[in-house]
Parts: sequence; C-alpha cells; structure tokens
Amino acid sequence: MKRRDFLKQALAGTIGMGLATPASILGQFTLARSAMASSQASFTDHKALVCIYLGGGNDSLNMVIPTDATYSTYAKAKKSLAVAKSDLLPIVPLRSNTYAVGLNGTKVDGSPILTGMQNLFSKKGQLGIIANVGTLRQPTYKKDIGNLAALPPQLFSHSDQTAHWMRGSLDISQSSGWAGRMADMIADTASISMNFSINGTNLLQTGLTTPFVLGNNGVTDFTALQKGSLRQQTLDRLLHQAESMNNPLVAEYAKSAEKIQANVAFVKGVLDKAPTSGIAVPTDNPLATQLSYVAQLISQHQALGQNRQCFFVKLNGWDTHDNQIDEHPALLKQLDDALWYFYRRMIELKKLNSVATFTMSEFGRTLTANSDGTDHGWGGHHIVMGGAVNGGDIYGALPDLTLNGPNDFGDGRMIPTTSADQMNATLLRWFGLTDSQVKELFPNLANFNAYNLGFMNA
Amino acid sequence: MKAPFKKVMLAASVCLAFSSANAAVMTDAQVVRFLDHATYGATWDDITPLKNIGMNAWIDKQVRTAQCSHYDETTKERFSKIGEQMMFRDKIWWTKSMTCNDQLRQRVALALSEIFVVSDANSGTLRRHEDGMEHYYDTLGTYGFYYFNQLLKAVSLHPIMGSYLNMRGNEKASADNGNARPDENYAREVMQLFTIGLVQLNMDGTPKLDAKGNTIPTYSQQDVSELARILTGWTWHGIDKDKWEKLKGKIHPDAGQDFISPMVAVEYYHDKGAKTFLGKKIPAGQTAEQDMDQALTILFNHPNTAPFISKQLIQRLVKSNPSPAYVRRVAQVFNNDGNWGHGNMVAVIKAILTDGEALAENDKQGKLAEPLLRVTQLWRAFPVHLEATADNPYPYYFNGVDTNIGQSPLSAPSVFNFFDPAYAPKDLKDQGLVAPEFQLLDENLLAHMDNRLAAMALMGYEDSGADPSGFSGRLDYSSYTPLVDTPNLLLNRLDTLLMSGRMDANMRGTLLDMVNDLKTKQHATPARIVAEVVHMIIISPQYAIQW
Repeated sequence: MKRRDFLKQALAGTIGMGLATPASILGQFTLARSAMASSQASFTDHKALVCIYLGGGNDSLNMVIPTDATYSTYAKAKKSLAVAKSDLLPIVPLRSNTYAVGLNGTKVDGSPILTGMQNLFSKKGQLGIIANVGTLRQPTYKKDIGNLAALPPQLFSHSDQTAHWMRGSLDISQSSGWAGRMADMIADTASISMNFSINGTNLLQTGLTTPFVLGNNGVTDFTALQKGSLRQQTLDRLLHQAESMNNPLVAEYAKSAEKIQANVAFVKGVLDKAPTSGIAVPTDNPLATQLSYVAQLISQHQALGQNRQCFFVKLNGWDTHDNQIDEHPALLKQLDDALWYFYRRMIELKKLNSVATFTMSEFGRTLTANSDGTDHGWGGHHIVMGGAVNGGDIYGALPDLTLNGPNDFGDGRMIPTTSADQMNATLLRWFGLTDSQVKELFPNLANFNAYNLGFMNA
Repeated sequence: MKAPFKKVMLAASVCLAFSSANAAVMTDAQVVRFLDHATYGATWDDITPLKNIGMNAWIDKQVRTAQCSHYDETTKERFSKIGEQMMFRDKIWWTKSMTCNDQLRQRVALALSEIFVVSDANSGTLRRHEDGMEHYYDTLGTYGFYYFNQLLKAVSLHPIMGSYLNMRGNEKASADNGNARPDENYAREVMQLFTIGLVQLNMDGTPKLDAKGNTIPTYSQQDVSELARILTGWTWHGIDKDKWEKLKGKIHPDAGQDFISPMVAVEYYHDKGAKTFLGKKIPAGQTAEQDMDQALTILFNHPNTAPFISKQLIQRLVKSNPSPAYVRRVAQVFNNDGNWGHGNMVAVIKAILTDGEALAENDKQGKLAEPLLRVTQLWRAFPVHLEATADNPYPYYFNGVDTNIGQSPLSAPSVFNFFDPAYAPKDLKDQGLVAPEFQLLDENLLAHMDNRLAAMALMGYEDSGADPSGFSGRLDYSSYTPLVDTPNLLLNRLDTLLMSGRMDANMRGTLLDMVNDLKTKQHATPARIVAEVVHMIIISPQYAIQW
C-alpha cells in the first residue's frame, strides 16, 4: 500500500470513530492532511483545467457548419434553422478533415457572432475543435444501435448523459466524477480541494472531496460569526456535538458546515489579495463573470498552495426545443465573448500556456428541426482553448450529415465518432496524469485504440 | 370540476392505517412535528386546535378550506418591467405562504412545483408571463387535492407548462410545413419526471433488476417519438389554424397570448396517424384530446407511477429516505384509496402524513429542511404581522440577487428542480442514503443562508438597530423575553416550537452556557439573549435536519 493511501484510510477511520478524544484526533487529522499535501510536490509547474458546461445540450451542428458542397446536405436537414451560407465564418484547419467548415457567424445586434473563436482558431492557433464527441462504451456504428448493452444507458436523457460525461465511466452506481477522483489521486492542497465550481455542486468534481463553490458574487463570508466570538465558540460546540449524533444527516451537515466555514475563511483571505485586472468583464454575461473568478483563483494558485487546479463554470439555456433561431445565436455570442475575455485575462496573468479551457455538454442535438427547434441528440462538436492546445485544427472525424446515413442514429442524432472519455483523457495526460492513472479514471478507454487524441502539446 | 371534488370528500373520510394515533392525544412536540410536514411551519396557535380534533380531521378540514389564490388579475397590468413582475410573484408567494389558512394545500403546491417543475430562471417567455406562473401554482394547489390523472392533464394543458417544455405549438411532421418531426421535450419529461421515471420499479420504490442485476429501462426512444406525435396540435386558447401559421414567424409569439386558460387543440397540426406507445395501440383518426387522454391514461395506469410519485411526495414532505415499506403503503393507497379510487391525492397525502414512520420519533433521519422552509418556519414561529395596504398588498418579501439562498419558488435552474431526488454527499451515499437538499449545501449557499438567518434573528436587537434589507419582517420575541431568567423554560419552549422536542442534553447544555455567558459577562438585554439563542438554534445542524 502506498503511504498516501494508508494515510487516507487512517483519516477515514478517524472520522468514523466519532469524537472520543477530540484533541488527539485533531492532531492526527492535521498530520494526515499535511502528509497528503506533500504528495502534490510531484508537480513543480502550475496547470489548470477550465470546464465550460453548456447546460441543456448545445446544437454544435449549428456551431461548426460545412462550407463546401456538403453545405446542401446540412441545409436540407436543418431546414429553417440552417445558418445562411453567407453568414459562415471560414476556418482553415491545418489538416483537411472530410469537408470544409466554417463557424456560425449569424448577426446579433448587427455583428457576426463567433468572431473570437474564428480569430483564436485561425490567427492565434489557440483553439482546436474536437469533432462529433459523445458518450460511448466502445467504438459504435450504425449496426450497433439496436444493441442496448453496447450503448450508454439512457441516451438522450439530460440527467443521465450529463452524468456519463462527468463520471468518465458508464457505471451508474458510481457517485464520483473524473475530476473528483483525479483530485483523490494527486492529493491536492492541505485545506481545500483542487476543484472549484462557480456554479454549485456537480458530479464531475466530486470524489472523496467536493469542489469549493463560489457564487455569482465570488466568496461570501460568514458575517455574523467572528472568529473567537461567543457565537462561534457556541456554534463550534454544537457542531462537535452534532457530529457524534446517531442521525447520519445531522452528522453530515455538521461535518460539512465545519469544513465550509474553514474553507471560506481561507479562500476569502487569499482572494482579497488578488490583483485587479485591467480587462473589463463583459456585461450581462454570466459565463464571463464566472470566468473572472476563475482568473482570480488562477492568479492566486501559489497562495492557495495549488500547482494543479480544476474549474467548473456553466451556462444554462442550450436546450433549444423552441425558438432556436433567436436563442441559440445569443448563447453562442455569450460563449464567444466569454472565451475571448478569458483568453485576454490569461495573457494578462501570463498563464496562457498553463491553462486549458474546454467545453462539455450532455449531447449534441438533432440535425433535423422540429418546426422551430431541435431535440436531444448524441454526438456534438467541442472546443479546447489555450496556449498548450495544438490549435487551428480539427480532431476526430467530422460526421457524415446525410440523414439516415452511416452516422445517423435517426432524425440526425449523430452517432459519436470520438468518445467523451478520449477527449477528457487527452486533457488529463497533458495535465500530468500517467497512462495508468488515466486508464483507471476512464475504464472504457480500453475499448478504444487511441486515448490521446493529440490536441494538447506535451 | 365539481364532481370529482365531491368524490374526494368521500374518500378523505376513509379510515387509514394510522388512525390509532388519533386515539391518544398528541403532545405539543408531536403536533409541531406533524405541522412541520404539513404546513409552512408550526405556530403556538395551531397546536391546541389540532390536538382537539386529531390529524385526520385536521387534514379533512384543510381540504375543505377555501383555496388561497396566488393569481391576482388586478396585478396583471401593474408592472411593465420583467424584473418587477418576478419580484411581485415572489412577494405574493411569501405573503400567501405566511398568512393563508389553507396551509396544507399551499405546502402541497410547493411540493408539486418541485416535481412538475416550471421555471422562469432561464425562460424569457415565462418571465414575460408571471401572472400565468401564479395561475400555474394555483392549478397545482387545486388539483393537488383531486385525482392524479386530473392533475396530470391540468399540468399538461397549462400554457405555462406548454411553453416551458414546448408542447405549445408542437406540430405533426409534414412535408408541407417543413417539419421533420414533432418536438420531443414534453413527451420525454412527462415520462422521466412526472409519471413513470427511467427504470422499472417495484411497488416499494426500489428498482426492478434483470437476471444480470441491471435496472430495466421503462421506455425507449421509440416511445418518446410516438408520444411526441400523440402530443401534437396544442396551442394557446384563442389561436386557430391561420393564427398558428402567422405566429410561426414572430420573434415573441407569446406576446398578448392567454397564459391562464388551458391550451386548445388545432386539429390540422395534430398527427392523426396510428401510434404505438408503451406497447399499446393508439388508433388512427382520433382527435388531439382523445390521443392525449389515452396516452395520459396509459401513464397513469403504469405500475411505476404509484411508487414513483408516492416516494417523491414523501421526500418533499417528510423524509429523504423512506423505508420501502413506507413507500409501498403510500403507493398502495395511490392505487386504491379504500373505495377503489385510483390516484386520490388527498388519500395519498393523508397516508404520507399520518404514517407511523412520519410520526415516529425514534427514527433518526428526517430531511434537511429546504431553504424556503427554513425561512417560513421561522417567520411563522415568531409571528410577524405585516399589514397589507393598497400600495403594498403583499407585504411579505424575502429575496434579491445578493441574498440568494439557493431557492426561489418556481425558479429552479432547470426542469430537474433545485435538487435531484437521488443526490447524496459521498459519505451518505456510501451508507445507502440520499439527501437531495444537501445539493444546496456548499460554501456559497451556506454562507448566504447563515447570513440571512443571522440577519433575521439578530438585527434590530444588536447595537446597530437597523433592519436589514432583503426581507420585510422582524421576528417577534416578546413572549419569550420574560423567560430569560428561567433559561430552562425558555429552551423548553424553543425546543418544542422550533425543534419538535429534538434538543438533546448536550445541545441544551451548550445553549445554557451561552445564556449564562451573555448574562454574566456581557450583561445582555433579555431581547438580545433570546435573539442570540434563536440564532444559534436555527443555524445548528440539530435544527436544520428535521426528523
């Protein structure tokens, strides 16, 4: 058994014992925590992953769109929701990939959207596209779609597909996500998780620890509970008493409250010292606001004692069953503006090369339209941004957009040609995980030939 | 509408499993425990009347109490700005929840609004029609005491649900209109979330397993597609074929539409072909309503619906981890109320609230009170009396972006509600437990929650003297301040009303020490002492978890 594992078990045992001898146990606790922290010394450089979750299922078939003869196949299926050919912003990948594509350049408020992404892809080489990614158990073809055992459970369901992307496995009994288990593996800081969410708790970042959660206003202090006050002393006693009660929910609440209070004081103290930025946060853009806190936490990684950080931000509203022609371009614009803002922030912090930003979304949407919207699909395109990205290229095969063609599950729900696990594993290899660690996190990778797609440079 | 209601009255008087509980007079603490499940929070005034008549009669009386309506026609034109309308709906909710006498109905409406979720959090359309949102909430309150199939149909045809999950304007596939396929959103969610769920269930709510130990899906994508076809042809009241066609090009087709009346069918847009849904044939040539009725009946009669809905209602009202036997008892009442009535919601609610497991004090689990309830329970316990005026007809208010406690009625982040019924922190999951409300327990929300509770309990009694912003009522401690010299009596009363008698000796000792410290070292006033003690109780885990 590795030393760290031993300590982890010892620590777990300690918690289970209750509070027989508080002082001595507190001592063990501190010892165990600092020992866990020391294992992070294996990373001397700083790296961060930023997951942008597009909640509801992004119609990415309307984000990356064919510009050559294939456009007519696309337009025929997409009907009234097809983006006009004249509105496409061409991008030229380093290597040709099936057919030529451009980005959605629909005009919102008079200007084309996705110009930031176009710029980052073509001119800066800072952005790559991973084509037709989705949850998969194994390489899956049209002949397999009747075989339920070969498919991820509950295709097309928001909650289930979200969970599959986040778990990194298709074991629905597993209550942790790959970023959470990664934090367990590389045992991060003494006091707080390497995982931060600016949008509530989530499965992705849940392992033995849960993410530290910030709100739309950053970190909020406990204003009525001053350190050393009678209130705080009384509350501490109540929490300790609650932890040893035989109601498991009470004990859990007490444990969480205690941890949360300590974490908030620490992170608040660190962030109060974060440098101010000269770059304005785009207004009315919740995603950019969330990313502004990510930038602050990245700037303070040393004070936080973190050489590895993983962030989760989220924009809802992508479930465009209705009124897509209005809503989807507005969402894409928010994403584009937020990405461009964050890119500039990373330059400002001189962190461009050590931060990789990527999208995640439960599924793509149907290529076909239901009157004025699209329904739940499967595969979709994703983007990766950062200095370490081998940008300006498309990875994985663009799907054949022919309805009822080889990639169509039905109604233009694309059968993924690259698995979500492959994409995420590629990010984690760059992040510093070993082959065997990555295989452990994503057990179904064994069913695929390539588990490093090459879009990150070593 | 009248006839089924009469039937409910009949069914409500049926003798149920735990009728013996009525024989013995309940203690104050037992009454509080019951009221914390059945209302927005116990008050001293509620205790004696309930003791006198018993739980079953109290429920029957509540069912007969006139419904307190949230929808207020006079407010429709009052505000031009969208944010003001949202705030106004919120104020109505807080005021009604605090002051209405039909507490059981109001509480059930909240529970149902967290199952049949609609939300203006990410929907511009719903934000433009907050009056419709109020009416939707009333619909849940009304049909919450009818039969489940009536509730399901009322929800399905409400224009707010129609807009939220896109059944409104759902067209048949046709080469003429360029529509490849009907919209699948409502078809999917009405199964996954409102009736049968994703996997086949036993009557006790546990999943059925196949020979290999795997769960068994309840439906396929084919069923979703077929149900989407069945549910075509519905739109706003007042829209015909021509108007439907014209609305398609509009950016805000909802402007000026009727968000109160049930949706109507325009048969031209209904898919009249034959369908097969969950193994059952639906013949060609039926009207949109015939098709819908048949499909909803299939869902209503599905063996999953009783345990699926019963378990979630238990979780919303009583506890996170009901025993399979408790779920089975309630599900059996769902399927047969004793008079062969199927889906009798009053009988189901009664079965939930009067079950031995809901009443037992030796069961140390309960649930984390959701944020809204932590505030209403406090406001009702220390009754705040705010006068309605012509300028301010709904004086109770609690919200604002900077006071986010993670929950605002009808404003969940998505159709999956504020929390997932299967959510659990890791340590609880390892014990086989769920704790949905813990999804709202994080660094951000706990700080906000505790700060708001502190502001409510402490402000005005501290040196500042200022009332904080973000809520409208200050707690009334006047009946407690005379007890400060007998702190055990003070704690007895707070224990009964706030904690239904759950305060153990350790907690009591800690609070007594605090009172003593405040008196001897800080020479605090009686009002300040009560405020400090209440503050400690309401932010404690012992209080937050209600069992």
